[in-house]
Amino acid sequence: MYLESNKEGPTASIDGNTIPADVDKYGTLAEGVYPAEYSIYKGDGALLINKGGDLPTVKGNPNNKDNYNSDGSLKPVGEHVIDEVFFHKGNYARESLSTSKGSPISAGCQTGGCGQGSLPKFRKFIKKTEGFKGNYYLRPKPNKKTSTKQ
Amino acid sequence: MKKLKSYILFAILIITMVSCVNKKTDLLNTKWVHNFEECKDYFEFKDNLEYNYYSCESDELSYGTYFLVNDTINIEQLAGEFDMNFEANSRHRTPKERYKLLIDEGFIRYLEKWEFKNEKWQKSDFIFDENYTFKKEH
Repeated sequence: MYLESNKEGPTASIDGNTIPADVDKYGTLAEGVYPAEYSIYKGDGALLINKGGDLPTVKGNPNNKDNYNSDGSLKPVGEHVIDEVFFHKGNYARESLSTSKGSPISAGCQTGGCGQGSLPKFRKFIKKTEGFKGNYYLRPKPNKKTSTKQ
Repeated sequence: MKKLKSYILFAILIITMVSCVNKKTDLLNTKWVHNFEECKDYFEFKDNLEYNYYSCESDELSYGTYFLVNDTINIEQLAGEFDMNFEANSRHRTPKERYKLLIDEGFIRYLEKWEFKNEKWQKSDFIFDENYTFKKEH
């Protein structure tokens, strides 16, 4: 997280997940820069992206009724949206984006890390975003530097 | 001989009924826990056929109703503690789901999951980890 007030570098950082528990059942947020602000999600701080409004997906989202035609067929993937996207806490107990009874920790949201120690880490991070209003930048994984031999 | 058969059948019936009643009594006002390394999931079975389930993986409490048939607990998940924070049709609300769980040698374990989709109950293909069991705490 970069704050304008901090010219030294990131104010806080955390590892997380950008994909849902099942990429075929739920939408995956497409790369981009989106407005985001501090919010609350299920008892903990979180970031709400685009005020919860529609966002583009990587390869569609069958988990949103707006992505279906009136005859029940799916609209073209390029028209699909995902909404109510938060950056919220991950799975506290296991390194999985589903719970042990098969409920998604993420059905399209961005999450903090999962597994042992993840919740205290997330809470420490999200505390620093209280009052945050800015942008959420979901970027592709940077390419590894390649050396060019001449 | 006919009388003896009737006595045996009656005895079997009584034993079965007593066994069922005992199991039901065993479940009332009990707490069953699954230990993860840093936190615990649990079921609480209350005497009005309602239950609480806490998932420490998602740090969330959900509620519903249950009934017992022999060794099988049938639960219907109806709501969650944070549902009121989301719109009625939000995907963040606790979904209506049914589960079958088995009481087996002092443990409870999940058998089946059913999801309510398109106004119909459909059996989920989710496979439960056999180690995801709950032990009676009190």
